[in-house]
Amino acid sequence: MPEVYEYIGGIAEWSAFGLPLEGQDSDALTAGSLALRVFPTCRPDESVGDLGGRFGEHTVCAVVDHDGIFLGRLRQVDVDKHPESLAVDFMTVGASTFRPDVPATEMAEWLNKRELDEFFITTPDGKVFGILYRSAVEHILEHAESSDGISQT
Amino acid sequence: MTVERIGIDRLHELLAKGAQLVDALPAEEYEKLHIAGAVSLPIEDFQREHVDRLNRSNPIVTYCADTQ
Repeated sequence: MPEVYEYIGGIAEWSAFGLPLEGQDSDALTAGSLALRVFPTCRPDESVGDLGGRFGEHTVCAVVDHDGIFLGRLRQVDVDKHPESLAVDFMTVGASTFRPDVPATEMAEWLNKRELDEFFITTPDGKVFGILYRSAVEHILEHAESSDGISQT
Repeated sequence: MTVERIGIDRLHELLAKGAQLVDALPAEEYEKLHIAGAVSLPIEDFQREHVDRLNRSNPIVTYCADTQ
């Protein structure tokens, strides 16, 4: 008799984690497919002055706990202004995030309403999946609209 | 036969041991989207002989859209 299990999260949860999918709609543009997977992170108790070189070309840093759970976002402009402070002093707590399976078109509408230039993508367990910039979303959507074979949901 | 309900962490463990994923959703939904590597055995027209497609020596994990 084989061992039989039921995965209660189903395809909904699997998608929300940004895990691999197959099928006709698997190439749809989503937050997960567009996100940059390499991004700066820091702990809330780190000195802001130690983070400068960590940003690279990014304008924000994900503040995470020891398990990689997203706590908030820290802007580079605040790092530059307050190098003697701790990350927790200037991070935006509880910043809005998207799940990896959110359609790109929905993200673009949301970004326009909030006038945000970037935001983090997090999985259902609160870990940071990646970062997405408004300019990248808009550029890719414009390109997708003018190309055949790229699906949007 | 008992069916244990599991979360995503246990699923990853079982997949690492060679578990087979079975998509129980309708065939047209499977064609649109399914978990990578899953086979389609729609519960709506499930027949016993369909199980013959599976390797009984490995764990079998079924899923639907979301049953939480």
